[in-house]
Amino acid sequence: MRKGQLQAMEPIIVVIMIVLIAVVALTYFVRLSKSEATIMASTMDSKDALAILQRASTLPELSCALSETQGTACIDLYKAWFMEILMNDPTQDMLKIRYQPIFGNTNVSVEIIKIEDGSSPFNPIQIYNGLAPGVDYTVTRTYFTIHEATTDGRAFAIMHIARESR
Amino acid sequence: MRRGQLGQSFQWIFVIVAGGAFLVFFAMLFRTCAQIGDEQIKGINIYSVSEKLQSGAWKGDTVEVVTIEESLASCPADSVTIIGGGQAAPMDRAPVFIPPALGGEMTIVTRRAEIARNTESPIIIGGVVYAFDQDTYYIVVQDIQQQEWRKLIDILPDGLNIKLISSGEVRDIENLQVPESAKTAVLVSTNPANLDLMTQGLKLPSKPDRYYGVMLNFKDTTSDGGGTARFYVREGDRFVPARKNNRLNYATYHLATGAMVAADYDNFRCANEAFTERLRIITTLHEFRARIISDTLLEDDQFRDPYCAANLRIAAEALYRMNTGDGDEVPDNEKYLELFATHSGKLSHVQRGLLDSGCPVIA
Repeated sequence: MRKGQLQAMEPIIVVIMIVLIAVVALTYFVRLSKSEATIMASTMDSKDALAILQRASTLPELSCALSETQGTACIDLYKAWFMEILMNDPTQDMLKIRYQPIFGNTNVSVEIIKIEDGSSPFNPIQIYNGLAPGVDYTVTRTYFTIHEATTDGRAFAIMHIARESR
Repeated sequence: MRRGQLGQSFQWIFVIVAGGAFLVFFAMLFRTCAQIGDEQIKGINIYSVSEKLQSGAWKGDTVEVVTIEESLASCPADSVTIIGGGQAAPMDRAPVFIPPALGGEMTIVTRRAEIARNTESPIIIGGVVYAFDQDTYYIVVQDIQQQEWRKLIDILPDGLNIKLISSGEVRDIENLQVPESAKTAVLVSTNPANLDLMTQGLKLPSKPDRYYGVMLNFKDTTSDGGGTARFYVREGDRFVPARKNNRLNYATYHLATGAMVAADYDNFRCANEAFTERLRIITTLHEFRARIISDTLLEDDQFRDPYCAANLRIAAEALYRMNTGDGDEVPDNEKYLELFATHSGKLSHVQRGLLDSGCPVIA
């Protein structure tokens, strides 16, 4: 290429360079933004999970009895079981609508965990299933105390909250 | 350095400066977008009526002032729903004082709803939501319910038109004028004699078609009793008993420390239904739980405790009769509330015994 031709192409090269820099910058900020959005979504999910746990543990349908753990998130094991039975009862289809403002479009289940070995003595108890079937979902977990009234036993439990992926 | 080389250097400097400018421009653009997103999320959380109701409604003694537009209040088949911020909140944590006309600013106050609140170990059944309308004039006679009303009014913010009067002051009710600015008046008493005096003597504003009156009479406030209510409406210059299509139904006094009041019968009906349906779930759940624990305490050698088992069985039977209409047929809502009133005294007694004996309790 002659020197004259190179000089003639200089403005084009300049434009290309500018566009390249812009694309690189754009890519960088899109990635940065995505990363921030992911962190934000994760924080929001955690906050939502805590809010759902707070609501659930103060609902008379799930809360521990007055004489039990007060001031902490506590759910009664038998009530949780009964909620699962109700939610799976086809004649009680209005219940999902009734509890939707409390649990949102989520599936909420609770699982007892044995501290000693991390195993679970029961299958998870699904206390609410408001997530549309077939959608992609993410699960957030939060922790609480579950109370079993017969033995006055308290156990460590995990609340799994599945919601549609953002 | 030759002239051409100098020109090229300037071009490269230009490229770098332009690139940097682009970089700053995009950075600012993305930051601005992110900030707008944050504000929108924050806005929904702060201003959503449903969020407020959900976060506070089952706790005791929370006070929220919310603005509810009339157009946003709806009454679907079985609940009053308030829609705000894209969310819907059924007001099924009543009994509530629903302002006669939904709309404008209301003060939402939540209290714990308990069975037999006069005992040391009440059964908490949930929350009570009182919604006070700033344009409504409330006259409350402090007689038997004095303590509860005082506690409620103590946590209310200023600016509400609530006039507390003593039984003695009812005789001078003629001196009490409902303000002209009030859209409605709600009158509360537990004494039938007071009701008569108030209906006859209260001075009403000069525009009768804008007002109506409500009087509540809870005839029995003991833990075992039921409750009655009367509903009066303004007709001409007098209060008269309301006709059926706008009569007042009520939740019994010890069921929760309030009653539902609504000028619009549909509003009342759906709130009452929503509340009763919710209560049915709770008492059915209590029955199920009491029965399971009772059976386990009776049959499992490891946890055998006949005394606790027997008392929980009594509770389960009382709850069964409440939930099933004494086993005959599933009661309608009105009958269910009557049964609730009938059996809640026994439940309270059993609950206290269970608690004192260190047994598992009903709720």
